[in-house]
Amino acid sequence: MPENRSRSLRELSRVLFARWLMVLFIIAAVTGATLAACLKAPKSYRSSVTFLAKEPRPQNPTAQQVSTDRSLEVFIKTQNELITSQTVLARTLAVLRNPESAVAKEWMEAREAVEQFDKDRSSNRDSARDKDREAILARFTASLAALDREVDRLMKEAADYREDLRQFAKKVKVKTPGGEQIALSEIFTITVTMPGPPERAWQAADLLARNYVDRYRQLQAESGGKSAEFMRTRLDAFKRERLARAEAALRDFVENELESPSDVGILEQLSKSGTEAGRQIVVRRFQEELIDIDAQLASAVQLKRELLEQLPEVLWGKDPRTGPDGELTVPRMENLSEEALPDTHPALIEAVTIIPEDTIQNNVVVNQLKGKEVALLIELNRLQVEFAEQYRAVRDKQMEIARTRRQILRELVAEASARDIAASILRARQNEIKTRLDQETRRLDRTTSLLVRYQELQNELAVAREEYRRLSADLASAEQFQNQEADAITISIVDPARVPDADRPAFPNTILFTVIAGGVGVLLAFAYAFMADHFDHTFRTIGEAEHYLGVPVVGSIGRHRSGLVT
Amino acid sequence: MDSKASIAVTPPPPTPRLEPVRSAVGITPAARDEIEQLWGSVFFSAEHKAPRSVIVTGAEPDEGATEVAAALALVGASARHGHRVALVDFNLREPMVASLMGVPESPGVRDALASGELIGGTNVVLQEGQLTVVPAGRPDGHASAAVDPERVQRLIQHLLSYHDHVIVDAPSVNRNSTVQALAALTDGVLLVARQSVTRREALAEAKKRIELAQGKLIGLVLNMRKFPVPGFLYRRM
Repeated sequence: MPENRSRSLRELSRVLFARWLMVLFIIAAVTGATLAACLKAPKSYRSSVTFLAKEPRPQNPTAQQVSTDRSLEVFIKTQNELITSQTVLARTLAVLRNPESAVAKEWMEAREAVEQFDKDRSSNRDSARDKDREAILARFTASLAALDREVDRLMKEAADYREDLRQFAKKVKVKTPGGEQIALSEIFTITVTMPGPPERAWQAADLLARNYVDRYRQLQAESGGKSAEFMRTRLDAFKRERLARAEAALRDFVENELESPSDVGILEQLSKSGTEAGRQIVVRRFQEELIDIDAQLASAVQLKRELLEQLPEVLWGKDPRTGPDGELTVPRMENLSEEALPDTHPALIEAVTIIPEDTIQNNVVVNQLKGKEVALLIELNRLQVEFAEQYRAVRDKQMEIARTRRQILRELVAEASARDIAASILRARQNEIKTRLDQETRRLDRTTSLLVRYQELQNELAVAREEYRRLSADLASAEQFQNQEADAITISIVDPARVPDADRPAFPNTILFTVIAGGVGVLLAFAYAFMADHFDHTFRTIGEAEHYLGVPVVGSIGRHRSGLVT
Repeated sequence: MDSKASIAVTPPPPTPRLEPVRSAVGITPAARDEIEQLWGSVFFSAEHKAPRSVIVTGAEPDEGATEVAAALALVGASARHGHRVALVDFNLREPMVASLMGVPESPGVRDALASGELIGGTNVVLQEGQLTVVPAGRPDGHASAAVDPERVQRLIQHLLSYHDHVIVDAPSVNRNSTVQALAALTDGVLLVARQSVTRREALAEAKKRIELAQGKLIGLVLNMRKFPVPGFLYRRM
């Protein structure tokens, strides 16, 4: 209903305008008081440093997107804690309180030297200067330690320092552009708000940033060094305990359990080819030899028998022709002497005619003698044609043939004897090989029973060696990491601290506060107006009067400065 | 003084035989329209007979009742209306009419009530018309005598006999019993109230007192009215 609405609007404006003086006064008073307070209040200035946290990422970052995001978040949160840690704040405040003190100056110079060195080195790498770097770093570490001692002293002695530290902690804020979702960005900002001149805020922010970076590097170096140190200790312990023990166990086994060190070869053979196959390989070697000897032996015996069977009985004389085992014995050489077997003995002719073909071929002497005999026979025949039996030349030839035949017989006996000896040698050899085969087989059996244990030990040693190799690799990477960490600055300053504009303090924000105070003043004034109206018991309008009294308002007279009547 | 009227019951003098007083008193021009309207509202009633004797009073002191009464009398007596109007000051403790209208304080109501004589008041010759003013009288009079209804009634009747309207300025209702004494003797009571000053409770109290005294409350006059909202704004709302 427009009438009602307009009436109520009129009502509202009446309430306000009826006390416009007071309303304006309240607004003006609140705004003015705030403005005055802002102008008079001690000013704080804000200075900030922006960092880029460059996470070391050796792998392809897209390959482990999720974990990387998460770790970045953790990383930046950690930096947040680090910046607002007691150590960093206390160091900063100690320097800020007295920048001209010897400790503060030494620290500034030492870190300046480190930064200058790093800058030089990054432009011109020179490993020969690592010694210099160590010296510079040592100086820097010492200056930090001195700073920490100074902090300790201040904490103990200066009560106002402790109070300042508490206040300072409240003035430091770490912000990330992404707000709560800090993993969105690798940027973070330290903001320091300090009362006093703008330069002080700048100084505080700058010192805080430096101290933070120092602390970060310090922690990084410590953690890297510790991990390498730990790895080294572990590797030593491993070498001493597991690896050496495995080696000793194997050595003990070889020395004490095996009969000879050469058994290791068998064990190796067995572990390579398996128990059964290894055994067969060893046994076959002996059996082949035995077969070979058997063949040789058989041929020797055969040859001997063949020879002996052809020889005439007269050669044995009074000796028995066969031995106790039924074998033909070799006739003694005495039985072939000229007395026992004269040249004219018919056995000479008999024996020679049936010399085994093998013997003629194989025995060079027999062969030559046979040839000689044939030649002599041919000569004799020629002589017999010409001369009579009694002719001397014929008799000589006949004698020579007989001698040659005796020689052949001697050779044949010798041959048989040699065969006999060879056979006995082969037999002995055969026996020996059989014995060795037995030995080998026994040894093999025994070694096989040790194989499991040997393999166990061997395996253990292999595992220990592998583990040792892995640990060595770890140590190497830890050492490499340590070197990298010591060098790599993964925190870099994007925006250094600046001296804030003297006209724009962080607190108080005069314009904002005054505007807010104006708003508050308006609200207060309105509240006052409506409250006053509510508690006002006078009547304000004609309608109100008529409503309240039930009496018509017959007239209304305005306010006239000079009164109604003049 | 020869301005004193002789006490004669019959016949009453047709016009007051008083030496006229010239006065430069007039209504503030800016207020004239408002007073004219008020006059019209009170005395030109189509429904019932227009009241002849009216008490103008306030619930509390300083409501501006005396000025309103004087202004009404001046309007009624002005040439435009041409009524014969008597303005009577019954505010016996703190009389103001005489000084407001520029007439001598005596003879006045107090004298009339004390002596029982009828008085004709002072004839005031204005710039436009003339008016009878009956001041409160000498201040050493007896305040208690004011409540003698018979004498009051006689005085009012006397004044009505040769005036068209009698306007009585009376002290505030809640502080003084005069109005209660007069209420039943007049045709009605006009209650003057100051905007944003007079409390509603005081008005209700005054109304109750008037009704208890069997007076007729004609209406309320809003005095020193303010328009807090500026006109240009108010017209747009």
